[in-house]
Amino acid sequence: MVAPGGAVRGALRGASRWTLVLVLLALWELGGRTLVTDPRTLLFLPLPSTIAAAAWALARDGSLLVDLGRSGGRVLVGSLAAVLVGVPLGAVVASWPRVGAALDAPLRLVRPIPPIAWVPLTILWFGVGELQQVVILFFAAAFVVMAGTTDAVRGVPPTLLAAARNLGVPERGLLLRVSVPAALPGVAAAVREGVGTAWFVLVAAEFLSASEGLGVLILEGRDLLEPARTFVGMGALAACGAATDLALGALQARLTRWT
Amino acid sequence: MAVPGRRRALSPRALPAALGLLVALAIWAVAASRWPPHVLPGPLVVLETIVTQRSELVGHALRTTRRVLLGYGAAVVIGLPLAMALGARPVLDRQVGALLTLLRSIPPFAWTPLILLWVGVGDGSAAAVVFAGAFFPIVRNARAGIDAVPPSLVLAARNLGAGPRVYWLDVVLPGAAPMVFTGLRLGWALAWMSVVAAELVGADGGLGQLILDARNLARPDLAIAGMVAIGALAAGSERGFALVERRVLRWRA
Repeated sequence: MVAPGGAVRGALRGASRWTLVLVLLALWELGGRTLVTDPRTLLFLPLPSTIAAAAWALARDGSLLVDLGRSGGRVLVGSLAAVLVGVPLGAVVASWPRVGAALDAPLRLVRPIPPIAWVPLTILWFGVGELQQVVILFFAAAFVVMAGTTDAVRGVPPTLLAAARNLGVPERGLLLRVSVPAALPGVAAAVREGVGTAWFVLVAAEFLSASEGLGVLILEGRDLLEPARTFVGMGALAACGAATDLALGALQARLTRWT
Repeated sequence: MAVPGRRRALSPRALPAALGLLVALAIWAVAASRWPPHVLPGPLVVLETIVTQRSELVGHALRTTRRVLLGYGAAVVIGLPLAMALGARPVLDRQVGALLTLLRSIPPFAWTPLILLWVGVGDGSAAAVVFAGAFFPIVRNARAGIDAVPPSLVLAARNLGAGPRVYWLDVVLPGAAPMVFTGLRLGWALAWMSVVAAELVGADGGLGQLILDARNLARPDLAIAGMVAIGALAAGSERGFALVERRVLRWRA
């Protein structure tokens, strides 16, 4: 690796990682332009250039930004609520076995129901609107955050608690001074996973009851027979999910630098 | 958890758990009595619906299960060999790995409109969405599992002249098995989420469709019955999964 020209070779290798992706894109574009004689085929699978043009058009008239904002806002609010509820609940379930068992038992029955299956009922209860969307994302993320927090707090080594006790930390201070810092890496990972789940579930929730958002853009593409819009929406969604995950990953690394 | 203390450790939790369930049911029942049944039906109403509509529920559940099995089966049959190929060939690993990383970021449900456009409404489209959900966790974890095989074992096998059969079946596969199972389990959970999303957006029959129809008919009791059925199927099958996993991986303990 330290051999002369190693940096160049490394950069080349980094770029060559995407060779297959680029070749496939080129084949898709060229094949579509030369082999496809029936233009109706392109209604089902638009060319990469068509998708890029659609992305540019959607970005220029600002509608992509509106959809992004709407979707991002829903994920943000739903995830925040999930953290505010899921982390304390998870900590309680892990720290007080009896209270935890009482709380956990009914939730255990609800948890296996896919969050998306709540969409029809939440529409009935909350009507179509932001609240209903956020409730679905909250459901999706809260269970993940809560389960992860429970595991993290349960995983705090008992020796750590015993050592703190012996060193004179009062019983009440154990939670804040020992359990919370020791569980933090696991909780941070759970929050990251929960937010990822919210991004995943978002589309399905938006398909069923939203008037703006990336899910709506994706669905519109099919309804208007402009699948290029669908591809743009999927790409934007993937980028948002990946960017959020990277950002949270960086935050997680920062918060748990001492591990 | 120590085995001798197990019975004693279980009982102090069983009582609060039962109490928690009762309280939750009571809260549900009280809430239901304050709202009309077409908004929030009580637990007994839902139970009655489950009993009276059982044949319909079972029919929809079978359709949903078939779609899950179709899509999941395809994801396993394609995903595991692909992971092995990626583990065996670094060039493939880098190139296909990059492609998979891109595709993986797309939520599986987002494929639903395209799949409906390409395949049309039916078992095939729902199974395709299930495939999109289950495929990536299966490949990713199996691939990571191959990396998790201790290099000393790999080198030892090579030095002792293991052929490809012995190498894959006796060294890599057992070593990767825990991660492979993790992927299979994650994929299974996502498969159930995906099938509901697919059925809600467009499918004929299936529990997702039942839930949606129930709302349109202002029958939340039927919707809850459908949700209970999905939850029971998903949780029950996951329990089965865990049993198989423990069996297969018993040699590790």
